[in-house]
Order: sequence, then structure tokens, then C-alpha cells
Amino acid sequence: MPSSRIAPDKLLLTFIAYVVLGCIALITVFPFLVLVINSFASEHAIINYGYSIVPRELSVSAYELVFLNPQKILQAYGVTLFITCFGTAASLFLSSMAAYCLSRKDLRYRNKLAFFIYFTTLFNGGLAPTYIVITTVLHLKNTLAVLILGPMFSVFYILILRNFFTHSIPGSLSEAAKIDGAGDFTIFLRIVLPLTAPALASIGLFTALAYWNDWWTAMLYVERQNLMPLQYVLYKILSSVTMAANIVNNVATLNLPKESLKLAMTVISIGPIVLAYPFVQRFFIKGITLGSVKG
Amino acid sequence: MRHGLRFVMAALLLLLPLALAFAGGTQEGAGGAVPAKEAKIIGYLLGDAPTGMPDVLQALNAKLKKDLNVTMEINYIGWGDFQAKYPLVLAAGEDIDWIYTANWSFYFQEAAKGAFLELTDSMLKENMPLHYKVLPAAAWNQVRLDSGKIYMIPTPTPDRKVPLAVIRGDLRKKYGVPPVTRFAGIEPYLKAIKANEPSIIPMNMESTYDVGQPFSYLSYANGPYFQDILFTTGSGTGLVWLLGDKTNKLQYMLEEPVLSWQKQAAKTMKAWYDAGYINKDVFANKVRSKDSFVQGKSAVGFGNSIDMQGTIAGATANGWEVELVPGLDGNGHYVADPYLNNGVALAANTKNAARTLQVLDRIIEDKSYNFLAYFGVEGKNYVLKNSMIALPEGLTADKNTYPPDAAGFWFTNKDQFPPYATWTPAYIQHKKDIVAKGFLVQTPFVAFSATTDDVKTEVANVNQTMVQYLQPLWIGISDDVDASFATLDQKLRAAGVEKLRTVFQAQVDKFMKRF
Amino acid sequence: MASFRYSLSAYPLRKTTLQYGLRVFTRAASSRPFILGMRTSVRRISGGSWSAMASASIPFRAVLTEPMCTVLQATYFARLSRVILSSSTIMSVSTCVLPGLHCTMQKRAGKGRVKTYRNETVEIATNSCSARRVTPSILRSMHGRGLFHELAKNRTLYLMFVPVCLYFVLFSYLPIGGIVLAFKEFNYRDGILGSPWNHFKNFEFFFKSGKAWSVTTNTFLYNLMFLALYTCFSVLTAILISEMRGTTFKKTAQSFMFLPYFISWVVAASFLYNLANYEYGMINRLLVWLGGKPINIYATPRYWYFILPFAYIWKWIGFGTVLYLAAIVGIDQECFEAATIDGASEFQKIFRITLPMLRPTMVILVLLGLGRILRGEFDMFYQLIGNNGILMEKTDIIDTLVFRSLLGTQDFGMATAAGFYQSVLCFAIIMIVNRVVKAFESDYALF
Repeated sequence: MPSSRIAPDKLLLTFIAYVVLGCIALITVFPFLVLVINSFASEHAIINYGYSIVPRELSVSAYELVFLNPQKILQAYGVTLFITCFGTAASLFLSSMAAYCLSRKDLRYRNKLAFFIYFTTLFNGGLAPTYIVITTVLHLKNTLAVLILGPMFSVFYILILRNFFTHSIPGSLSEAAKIDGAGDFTIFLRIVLPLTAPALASIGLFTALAYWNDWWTAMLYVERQNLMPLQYVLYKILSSVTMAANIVNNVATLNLPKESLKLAMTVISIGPIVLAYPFVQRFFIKGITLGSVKG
Repeated sequence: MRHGLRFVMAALLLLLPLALAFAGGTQEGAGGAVPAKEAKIIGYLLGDAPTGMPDVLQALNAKLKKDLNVTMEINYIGWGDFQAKYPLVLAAGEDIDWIYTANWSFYFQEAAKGAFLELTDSMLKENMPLHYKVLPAAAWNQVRLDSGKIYMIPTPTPDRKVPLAVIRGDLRKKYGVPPVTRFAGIEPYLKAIKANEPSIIPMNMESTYDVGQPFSYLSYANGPYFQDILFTTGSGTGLVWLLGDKTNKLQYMLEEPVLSWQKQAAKTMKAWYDAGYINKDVFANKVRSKDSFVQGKSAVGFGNSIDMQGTIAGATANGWEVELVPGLDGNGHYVADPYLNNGVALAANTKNAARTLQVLDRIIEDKSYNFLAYFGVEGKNYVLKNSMIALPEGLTADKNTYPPDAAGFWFTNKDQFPPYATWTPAYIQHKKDIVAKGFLVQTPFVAFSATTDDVKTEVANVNQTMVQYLQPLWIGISDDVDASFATLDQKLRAAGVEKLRTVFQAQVDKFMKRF
Repeated sequence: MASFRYSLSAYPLRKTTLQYGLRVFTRAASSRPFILGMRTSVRRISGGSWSAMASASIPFRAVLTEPMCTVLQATYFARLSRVILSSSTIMSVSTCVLPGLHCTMQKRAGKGRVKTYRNETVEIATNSCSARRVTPSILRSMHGRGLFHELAKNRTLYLMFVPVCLYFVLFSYLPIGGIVLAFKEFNYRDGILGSPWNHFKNFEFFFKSGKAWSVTTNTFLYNLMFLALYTCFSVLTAILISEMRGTTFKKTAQSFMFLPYFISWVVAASFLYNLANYEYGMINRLLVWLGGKPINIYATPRYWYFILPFAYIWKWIGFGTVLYLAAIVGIDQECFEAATIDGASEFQKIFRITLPMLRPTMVILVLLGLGRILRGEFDMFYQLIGNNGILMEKTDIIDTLVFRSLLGTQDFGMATAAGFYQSVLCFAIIMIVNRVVKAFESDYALF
């Protein structure tokens, strides 16, 4: 058994790690804390004193405004949860399947296929033609399908997955499986997927976040109230308050929180993700803890 | 090579469906159907649906079903998406019968692109009898395009508003500043605030609306009001027309007489900026001055007669005395809004043109429909008390699920409405003054819309130059005002402003022949 | 008579991918066109790896078994060049430096059995590979396996790719025809196909603005700086996290780094305003409290060379860390253990093992970043800088310039033209860079 004395270079490394990571963590969490705290500050305090660590006046009017119609928010949460879960699962499965195909060296046209999908990130038709195709040709306006299909595939994630597959799957493994008579799909399902759990977890996380934060698709294609996802509902609340105050003729808009509303929206939309993140995190830590067991 | 060919063929095959998708445009709208057949009409308004919209829509549809056998559905284009979504909805052309439009809401641009249905005289007379009777010929004249065709139904009651600044009367009196009648005379007030109230910024301005306001007020304080020829589209060109100028000549902002008015305004702003009367980071501030004013951070608030009403009431509720300083020109005038500033148009693809017109006629002119669409359900969203619009017992303004103006029906006949119970005496007086003192002056220029197709390069570049070089002057950020104006002039000429002048002047002359 | 030796040796090239080489001894008899032959004897050595020795004379045909072909990568070592052959493709052409000599490994379908001849031909097991000098006719016949044959052979794999393919056809390739709007004067009556052509008129506004060059270079340089800093910081934090021991600290640090992703640029801009504004911003209040004078950050362009990259890194570091961490986790721990046994220090392990192992991921992320090098981060620039004319000279990018120019005009054609300009430049850049990367290491290339 090695002695309990830690090597000096390991000590130095750990020290550097703590310092650097500590700084970065502080810099990234500080604005967030300030925002959360100030979402409970009154509009008056924010406009007069700016964001402060300890707000001078507290108020929950921003949250009250958002939850004025709780049924609407809950429905929006439901829609978002559904499209996130279903969309991420489908997207991850199909993307990794495609990435596996691209990583197989015996596929003659894999580079051409990779170029085929990569080309779509270089050139795109623009907003108007896409809008016309989706509404008039595919008739996807006001459907749940468009919310799921909109952000479903990202070429970047497919290519990143391909990269992970190429470099972390031993070719002999799939060859051995092939000799045993396994088909390509079975190899993918039984061998490749379990082996690349960290990559899938990270891409899965990104995809889930993309679905969670997506308001653009809803803005363009959804007009029915019961199909609106959470981010879009929050965004509409904010924009109606901001713009309505400029044209609306009445006193009601007067005390509406606008600055603190923006902050409240951020807090509300983060909630569930913060809870889901530790679940995903263990994929990144697991391999490391395995490796650090020495002796 | 074989492979290359195969891929090209495959690609072509994939592109075939494109032809189907884009095989072009619009269909003829069918004429009016027999009233016995039920029709479904879809309309678009700007803003966001108020929470009480479903109830109001239900009541509205009940009436419509009875009178016209029509069911109406209303969708909203939010302010945040407005620039992007408005043209898209029309470009797709699907599921839309009518849409709100205005001279500032892309009426001319979309009409030129063929997005709206042409409204002929006979159509209007037959299907909109009430409205047709009320609207003066001048209104139809304003809506007419150069081709002579009409694509929009204008509002019968254009907004009566002037730019309005508010100041803290209580603070003014406290520090012994004489009354401020004109904006140009506001400096003693600003000085007093700066000296005595360290926590209040005299003018706390924001980056989109307020940024040009004080400069504007100052620059036409000594002469007639002037406005940029592309003002309603949100662009700037540097070419302006003067209110009351019968020669209809377009002036270039950087030539006399406009140049010296602008220079003097810029020098004043620079003095105020350097003295600290203006917040230094206007371009990054997103909080409107009128909101700052109500919260007590700013000593001046900018707006207009219509949107200041809430601010005035709120500030008064805080116990302060609010004084109004209208932004009028040297002659005490301001331009009157055209009939185009609110309206509604029919989509080119609509299948229910006649019925839609009939529905709109009722909403605009029929009192029962009008009050329902604008104020909500009587007894629930409003009551008539002492012939004023007031809230029902127990309902506070922020709990009202259908505030007036929030629904977006701004094109209806507002002359039918009584005053609001919440208006303060000063505000009511101001509204009276607008009419009584003749603040508003008509000019045909407000209905003019330049056709920019041939000069769109120059328009884009001139606009972008104005934003970069003029806006800092608006708030007084400049080392040397004269030099900055010289730079602006040089850049604008390089961007093609002279060409714009020739082209637009020709269009203006042609347009004015109508009047 | 020229004679030379090629040797392919059986050895593990890279542990993780188990690639092996073939040792082949050959002798070229003369300079006339010939077909290299190899005699191979195949035997299995311990640990499951195969090796083959072959000797060449003219003419010959050397064949290898199918399992060998797919497991082995045959590598010819010539004196001046290294040739890598991929065994699992049907064929690949590789060149040797010696003139006129092409060596190929070709898989031939068909049954074979073990046969040893005294001098040349050996056929072993099921499929066969042969190395022969490639003449143009041979090249054609070797390529000519046909599209449909390939599709049939790998039909499961191609089927697995279909959903993604279909998605991009529907959502990206169908609308792509809209690019023609960049050359047309669009109106709704005529639709996209029918609107009249106006050639390059839609591009004029950008190139006549006098700022075309400056915004292009700004976009390019800013994005390059963001990419470089983002990669450095992400790799740094990923490595540090993986090296750390305290799990709680590790987990919380990583979670915190992810938080800025959720803060939209609108809110971030408000936060920056509250931090940096002249009258009551936190920075200036601190400065005044310390006895100094307040600084006007929003009116001084040079601060923004620091603020913008800082903001970019702040927002995206969580992402990059996760990606690189996933790559680090995939590294075989045996390498580290072997290194520790060999006495390597922690820093040596990082620089000699971790970083090279991260290279594929780094390359691909940098390539993907380069493919977007001319598309600026519009949200960030628009929210943080907005219409601030003082900062515009130094911080304007293509996207913000186009947005400002087209604010009142609603012209689809001009907007598409600007996007097309960016697309063409990005396309040119990525094609060049990809080709360069491919020349070095074809595995790392994007396509």
C-alpha cells in the first residue's frame, strides 16, 4: 500500500485546481445569486438602487404576476416537460444511431453523408422559406409535433457523437460481435450505447436544455394557448408588460414589475433543470472515481 | 465521376418538392357567401391576449353568430416578435382573414408586396355602410396608394396626441424654480435637481424611446416641427419635411435652416451631458424614463399624451405634483396623426371578404360591439358611472382581466367613448387644450410613404449611418459638436443621401398632387 | 534492379483501437510495371493478435483472411513515406514514394482456403486481400463496386441513418431553395419562384456601407478569439475537475459553471448595466468608495476587448467543460496507471497522456467552431452593445450591421443576401481547413 503522503506535484495540482475552479465557480455563480435575490426585490428598489446583494425592499409581485394565472403556467410546465423528455429521448437515440453509422469505417459513403448533413449548417434558406415550408407544405403549425421536431437534431451534436464513437470504441469489439453473428443494429444497441454513456449523457443534457429553453419555435408556429411551452409563456408575459405599458391607457400597468419580472422568469425557468442536473452529473464523475482508485 | 452524377441526380430529386412549395402566391379571395352559411373568420391583432379574452370573444361570437352567422378567432402577434412575425404571417398567407395594420405597422410595405386584398369602393359601400358614412374623404385619400388602390380600412378617430414631458412640480416649487412652460426652458429645473437631490438623476433616459426625445424637443423649439421622411418605418434618412411648409420641399438635415437648429440643440445636450444632467450610459439603459419617473429615480419623464396618463396617475398617487410640459414647436404646433395610424386590412387570400368587412364594420362603429371589444364585458370589466368608464366595485386596476387598450382593437371609433374615471384634472385639461388651443396641424406628409425599392441600398446604409453617428449627438456625447456634424454630413453623403433626396422629392411632388 | 524492402510489422499502433500492422518483405525486381506479390504466412500470436509475414516476388498475389483484414491495418513502411491502409473498407489506395508504385489492399469476395505455395500465392480463409500495383484499369475495376452494391451490403447501417437524413431533407433542404431570394426582388404575389431576379442588387447595401471589411474582420477576429479562449478554458477546467479528489467541491463547481447558460443575454445585459453604469453601478460605487473617480465603461471601446470575451467564456464554459470531461472520462485508465508505475508526475501525465488523448475532441470542436467563424454571436452583441454608436467602430459584427441596416425595410432579399455572404465565406474556410486536417489525420476531419 502506498504511503499516505501525497506527492508534491499532486499537491500542487490540487492546489491549482482548487484556486482556478474556485475562481471560475465564484464568477459564474455570483451573477446568478444576485439575480435570484433581486427577483424578490421590489421594482422601486431595482430602479432606484440597481441590483444589490441585500435588497432594500422585498416584494413578490413579480412572482405574483407570473402565477396570476397558475393554470396557464402549470399547463406550460406540462407541455415543456413532455416535449423535453420525449424529444430528448427520441433525439438522442436517433442522433447516436446516425453518429454510429458515420463512425463505421466500412461505410463507403460516410464522409459524403457527413458532408450532406453538415452542409445544412453552412447554408440555410432563411426564416421566410422555412416558415412557409413548415406551415404550408408540412402543415405543422399549431401542433405538438413542431415543438418536438423543431430543435430535434443538431448537426454539431451528431458530429461530436461520431467523434466519441470513433475514438472510444475498440474495433475488435464490434468485429468480435460480428463474428458471433450480431447485426449492425444489435451491435449499436448492445455494445456501442452502453460503452459511450458519458458522451450520451453530455449530448443528452445539451439536447434537453435546448428543448427546455426553446421559445423561438413556439413563437413562430404556435398560437394555441394550450400548446405553449413554459419559456414562451414567460416571454409573452414579459413582453406584454413591457410593451403594453407604452400604449396602454390605464393605471394598471403602472406598478407592474418589469425589471424584477425578468429575473423572476429566469428563476422559474431554471428550477427543474437544476434538479435534473445532478442526476446527469454522475456520468461524468463515475469514470473518474473508478480511475482514481489506486493500489 | 459516376458517383458525382448520382449524387447530383439524387439532389435534384430532393429539390422537386420545392417547386410545389414555392409555386407562388396568392389566390383570388372569394366574394361574399350567402349569409345562411356559417363562416369562420381569423383575425390578427398586435400585442398579447388579455387574460379575459376568452370570455369577451365568447360574448362577441354570440352576437356575431346571431347577426351574421360568423364565428371569429383572434390570434396575436406579440411585440417582441413583431418585426419578424408580421411579414411571415402574411407571407405564408394561410388561415388569415384580417390583420391590424397602420402606417407604422408595415401597411405600405406589405401592400406593395401584395399581401392585402384590394378594397374597392363598391365593396366598402355594400359591406361597411356605417363606417363608410362616418369616414371623411380625406381619410380614404390618405390610405390610397399611388396606384389609386385602397388596401386598408383606416380608423375614424386618429389619436390626438402631442409629445409630453412631465416634471416634478413639488420639487420645482421646493427649490424655487420658475414654472416651466416650454421644454427649452427646463434647464434651471435640472440644475436645481442636480444640486439638491443626489439620489435623483435629472433625466434618466433609455436607449430606444427616450434617446431622441429631448434633442427633438429642443431642435424644433425655435422653428416649425420637422420630421424625417421615413419616420414611420423606424428608419432615419436625414431628409425632413417642415410642418406648414407649402412648398413641400424636403430639407436636408445638415443644411440650413435645419442644421443650425440641430447644432444648437446638440450643444445644449452636450452641456447637459457634461454637467451630469443626463445619465451617462443611455444606450445600455432599458428602463423608460417615465417608469423611472414614477419610481422616483428620474426628475423628468418623456412620453406622449396617450401613454403618459398612467404615469401621471401613478406619480400623483405617490403624493407628488405632476406638471406637464408639452413638446410643441416654436409656433405652438405639432403634427396631427393621420387616419392611417390605426387600421385593419384584409389578407389577400381571404375567402370571406364580404363577411369580414361586415364584421369589422360592426366592431368599429356599432356601440354594443365597440364597447365589448374595447372595454370587455359590462359589469365584469367596466361599468358606466356618471357617464364615465370606471371599474366595478371591488375590482382594482391590476386585477382587471381585460384592461382597455390591451386587446389591440385600437382602430375602433373612439369618439363613442366617455372619459375615464381615472383621469386627473391636469390630464383632462391637457386633452382639452389639444383641441381648444389648436396644437395639432394637419399635413398631408404624414400619409406619405416613400417607395424604397429602387434605393433600398442607400436607405439601408443611410439608416445605419444615422444610428452610429447621429444618436451619440442626441444625448450630447461629442468632443466637438461642429466637427461631429461635419463627419455625419460626410458619411451620409458617402452613403447616398443625395440620391435619396432626388428620388424622394420626385415621389413627394407626385403624391402632393392628390391634395 | 531496384530492390527494397517494405516491412509491415505486427504491433499495436494505438492501444485503444487495436490496430496492427503487417510485416511484408518485398523485393522489386525491375522497374517495369509489375504486380507486387506477397507470400504470407499467417499465424496467431499470443493475446489474440495476428501477424503476417509475407515475401514478395513477381508476380504474386497475397491474400489475407477476412478477420485479419478487419482487425488489421496494414502499414507499409517505406523509407520516405508512411502508408496507411484501412482494412475494413473495400479498398483504399495509398501511395508509396517510389515512383509508379501503388500498393493497395483489396478485399475480394469469395471463398478461399488455406493454401501455401512455394513462392507466391496464398489464399487463406474466406475473403482475400491482394496487393498489386495499380494501373488505371485496375483502379477503375477496384472502385467499381457500385452504389447499389454498397447500399445492399450495409443496408442496416444506411437504414439507421434514414431518420436523421429525412429530417434534414424536410427541414433544411426543402427550404434551402429560399436562398435564391438573395438574388430576387421578392413579392408575395409571385412567390419565391416567380419573383423577378435582381442579380446582385441585394448585396449592394452591405458592400457599399463602407464597413463591409471592418465588420467582416471584426466578426472573424472576435470569433477566433472566443474559440481559442473557450477551448483553452474548457480544457483547463475539464482537466482540473478530473484531477481533483473532493467530489462535493467538484460537483458544485461544475454545477455553478453551468448556471450562466440559463441566464439570457437580455438579463445578462441588465446585470452588466447594473455592474458598470456610471451613476450607481457596482464597479463605480466601489471605485468611488476607494477614493477614485468613476469610469465610463460604456463609452470606452478598449474595455470591451476584455468584457466581450469574458462574457462569452462566462456563458459557455459550462458546456465546454462537460464535453471535454466526457472525453476525459473515456480515456482508458490503464494508461495512467502504467504511467504512474513508470514514475510520471501528475503534470507529465496531463501533458503527455490527457492532452494528446483529448486531441480528437479538440480538433472536432475547433473545426465545428471554424465552420461558424463568420456567424457572430448576435444576441450577445445586440444586448450588450445595442445602438451604442461610440462602441460600434470596434465592436460591430456582420449580424448587427445587417440588423441595423434592415430595421425599417422588411426586405427578405437583403437579409438572405447577407446570410448568403456569411455562408459562402464559412463554406470556403471550412473546406480549406478540413482538407488540411484530412491531409494530416483523416480521422479528425469533419467529412
